Amino acid sequence: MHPGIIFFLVILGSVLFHIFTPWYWTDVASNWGSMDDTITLTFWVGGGVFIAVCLFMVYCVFKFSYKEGRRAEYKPEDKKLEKILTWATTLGVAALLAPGLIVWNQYINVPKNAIHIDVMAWQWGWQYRLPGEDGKLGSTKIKNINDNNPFGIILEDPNGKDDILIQSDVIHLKNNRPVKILLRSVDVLHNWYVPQFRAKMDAVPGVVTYYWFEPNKAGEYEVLCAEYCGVGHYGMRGRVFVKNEEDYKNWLQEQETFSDLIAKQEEIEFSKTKLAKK
Amino acid sequence: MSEDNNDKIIIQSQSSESISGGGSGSTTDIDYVRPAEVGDQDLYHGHSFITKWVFCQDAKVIGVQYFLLATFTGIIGLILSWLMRLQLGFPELASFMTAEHYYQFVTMHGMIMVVYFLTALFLGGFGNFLIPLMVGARDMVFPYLNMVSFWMFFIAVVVLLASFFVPGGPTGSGWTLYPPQSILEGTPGSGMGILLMCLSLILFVAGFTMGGLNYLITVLQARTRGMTLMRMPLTVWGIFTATVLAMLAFPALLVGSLMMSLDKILGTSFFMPTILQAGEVLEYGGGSPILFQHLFWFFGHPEVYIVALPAFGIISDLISVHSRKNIFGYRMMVWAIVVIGGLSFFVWAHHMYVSGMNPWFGFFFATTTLIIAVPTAMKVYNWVLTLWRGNIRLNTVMLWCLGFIVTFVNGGITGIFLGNVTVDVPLSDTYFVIAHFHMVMGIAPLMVIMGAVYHWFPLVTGRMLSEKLGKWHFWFTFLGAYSIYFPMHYLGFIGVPRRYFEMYDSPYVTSAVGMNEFISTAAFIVGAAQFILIYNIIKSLKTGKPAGKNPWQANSLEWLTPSVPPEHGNWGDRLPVVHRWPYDYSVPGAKEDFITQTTPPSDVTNSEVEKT
Amino acid sequence: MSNLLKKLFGTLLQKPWETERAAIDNAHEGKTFNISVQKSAVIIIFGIATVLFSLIFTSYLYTLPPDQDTNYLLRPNLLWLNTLVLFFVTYFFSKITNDLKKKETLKVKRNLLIVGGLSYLFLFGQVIFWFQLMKSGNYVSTNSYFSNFYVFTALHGLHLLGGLFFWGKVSSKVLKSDQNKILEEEKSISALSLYWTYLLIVWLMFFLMIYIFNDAVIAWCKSLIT
Repeated sequence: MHPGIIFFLVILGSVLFHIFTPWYWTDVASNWGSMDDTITLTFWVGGGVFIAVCLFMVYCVFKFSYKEGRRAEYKPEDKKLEKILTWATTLGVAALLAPGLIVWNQYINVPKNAIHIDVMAWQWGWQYRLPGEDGKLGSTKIKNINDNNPFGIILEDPNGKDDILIQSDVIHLKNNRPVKILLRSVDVLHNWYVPQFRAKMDAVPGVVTYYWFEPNKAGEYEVLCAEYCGVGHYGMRGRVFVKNEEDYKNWLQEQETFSDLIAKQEEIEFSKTKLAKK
Repeated sequence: MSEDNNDKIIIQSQSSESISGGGSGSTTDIDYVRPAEVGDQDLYHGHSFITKWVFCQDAKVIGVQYFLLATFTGIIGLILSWLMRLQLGFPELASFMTAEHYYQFVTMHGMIMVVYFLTALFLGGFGNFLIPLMVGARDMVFPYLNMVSFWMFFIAVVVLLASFFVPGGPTGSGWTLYPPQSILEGTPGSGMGILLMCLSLILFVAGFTMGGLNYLITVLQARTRGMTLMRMPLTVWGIFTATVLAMLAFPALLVGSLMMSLDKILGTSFFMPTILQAGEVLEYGGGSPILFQHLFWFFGHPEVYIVALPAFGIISDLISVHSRKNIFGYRMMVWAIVVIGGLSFFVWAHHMYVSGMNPWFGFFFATTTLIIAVPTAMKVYNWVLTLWRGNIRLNTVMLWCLGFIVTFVNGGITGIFLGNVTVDVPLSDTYFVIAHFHMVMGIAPLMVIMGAVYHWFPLVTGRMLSEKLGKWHFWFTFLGAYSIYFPMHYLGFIGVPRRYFEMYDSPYVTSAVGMNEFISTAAFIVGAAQFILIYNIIKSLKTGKPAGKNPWQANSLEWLTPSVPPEHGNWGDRLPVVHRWPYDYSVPGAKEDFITQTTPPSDVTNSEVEKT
Repeated sequence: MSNLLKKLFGTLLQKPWETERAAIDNAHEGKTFNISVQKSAVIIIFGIATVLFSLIFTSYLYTLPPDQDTNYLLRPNLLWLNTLVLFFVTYFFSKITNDLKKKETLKVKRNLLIVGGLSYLFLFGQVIFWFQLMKSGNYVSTNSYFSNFYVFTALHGLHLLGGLFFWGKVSSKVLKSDQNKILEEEKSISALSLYWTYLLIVWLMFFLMIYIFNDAVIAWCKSLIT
């Protein structure tokens, strides 16, 4: 068989694979549909170039395959053609870059009404902290972390007292309300990633990183760790429930605040000393 | 003493008098060019087996040594990839594999393939063999240093492989070696494994620097008469620019490895912030993990081009020779190589869009990254435009070239996805990334290597490889590799993260299982198909057709040595004199469809070279 | 520099396939720069070393401010003396160059010895300073400031030792030979001189940096603003 035919079939197969693939992205469940749009744009432009270049190559292979006695053209360069191609490529690239930068600008500028969520990662699990009624998270310090203070909240910080602590890998989010995910890690790199929300960012020990999204589809989602974090990386999962306002409120009320936790511990301490006295 | 003197034979370039004396009558004025006034180079000619084949100072032998050792480590990398694919495709058959093993194999596979296989093979292998031949030198300028360079590489490989046998095994921190996890409990091989890895990398860099000095100075200062920079084949341009990149990028890897070793051994905190592990606060503090990432990718991105640029150069020459046509837009090709090389130092943080670095960097690095796509695209256009109106020999070498174009364009386009900061967010750390860089940096350069092997094997050994076996080898490799990595992009679209030992009962798993089985099967076949080449080589060494001189009717100097395969010193007793660029194929009016670089103008009197 | 750029761009614009160009190119010697291969090697090594040291500088700046105090280094100390020693080395090298021109080979021999001796003195001083630092409780793992300090001084010392290796080769040759032979060694001696100048520049950069980009100084500057 002529090699050109096989190359042509490879290109055709790629196109058909794309059309009939059962493997494609999950439905987007956040405001980042615009990321899908940039992917789609890149896909059409890039795919077009791929097909064009490859088909041209196949054409050449058919048309100009070796014939005894025939001479190839002798033409060291064609400045005009090169200029046209350079500018066309530059234009195409700019057309892809511009939307990308616009969406990135949205990505790094968080809306003011976003709920802040402290996502704390460790080898290998997640836990979460929400601000209390004051809407502010208390500041933290890794050295403060212990059994009585699982988030390492600085006790002197008044903002921290009413923080809502969720010592579980399940978090609920309010539908149609932006959230700012504040990532921190106590040991190594992690990454809090829900494929349906599209967004992601590494959690880096020593600093607090962030990103934001607005969930817009109620349901249950799986959280995956997307940055390699040691031997338990693949098992570092969690779950997110996106709920409507009422369900979210009910859930929130059941959660414990930091002052609840302190009170409970004091109680235990008190009963312990009582027991000891007896 | 006299024995010593016998070992050193001084080859003298023929003096100008002897030529002009005999030739003044028979040649015309335009022909007469004095040979290069290169100082006599002392070449150490080995006589014993050891000095001839082991501690040898002949760049060609060193090139072959590099090639063989790199291929050996590459085969280890291949076996590791089989084990990984076994786990991913058929976990029930891989019950002997723990997560620790899996991550160790991932790490070693990545590091071996990128550094010890591709880099060593392109620069050490092809660089050593081809540079002196293509620029018309007798050898590298510092032959002794060149030998030391190979043996440093050898020790680096030994140290690397030794880490398989130390307590805790090799490091399993991913080929990027990101701290803090690479040196903390919880990652396999965080003790001896990571230290040996750092040591091996430091040795590699040291050895490579010695070789690199040779490549640069040989290209710049030791070319033969008439060989201007713009008359060099693109292969030399590619290897030369890649070496410049390597010399500037490898120090970053050196600094990173050194500092990480100190963090591990002496308890410094270059990359280590305050860390709480297993309920205890470790004695680190104040360092930055992101600093390591900057250092790593400041090396790591140029590294991509250290592999790619030689591949670009080689493929340009192969396409030109086998299309019987000059490379289209030679100057544009040279500019593109230089521009890509320069820009490659300003794009490194596109590996770090979601690393937690200052998000404002995203704008800058996305822009620079997409700018680099322009010269790269120009190269692709020029390759296919070289085919256009050529006279294409559809032999094995050309098949590899065509395979390269398809895989490189595919991988290049997905690079535009990942380089554009927003598009990267959902796709980073997924299988899309794996598919992208294997296509563009694994398969495409492999196609070039294979093409180059089929092309230059006759020069190295004096015998041809079997075309029939070669074609089987190509179709298995190309179709197999394409069907591994093309569908893999779609796993990435779903959002399947990379570096997962298994997926458990994730909702993705149901759709990904079938694909993983298919990919694994294809991977086994492609890997096994590489043994066709080994068989082909062994067979050809014994019974292959003798190649004779210049079997491909090529123009460049390496085919024009007095003996094939070329001997030590390359050029017999007279250095070649270059009269033209290496792409005079199918010149109108010429007798044949090629005019070698050493052909003086008087021999092609009929030719009317078209001007543009 | 501008010459280099002109050369580079001029080269890249050539059209090697044109007959007029070919006539020029045929006469080309095959050498890009008019320097020896040894000197090219030294220049390339400078390039690599520059990248290496700037990366260390950058990583030092990146991790500022350290979380512990660095005042120890800011007090008057041995480093100033060592810097002075390095200056003297460069001074003697310039003397050697002059003496070579005047063909006063005896002085060349003497000064070459002084240069080596001073370099070893510098290294000795650096090691003493390390011990002083450690005695005061500032180890390599104390904070990022000292980590970078030790790493830089160690690498700089290694770089110097590499230079001393070649110094040993050259000076052993020079000390044994007579006047004419010594004059033949001018190339290697000027390469050595270049090498030491480079070492001094790198050291001065580092010296300035640890005193300027230091949290104590930064704090002082801040106090000026507020």
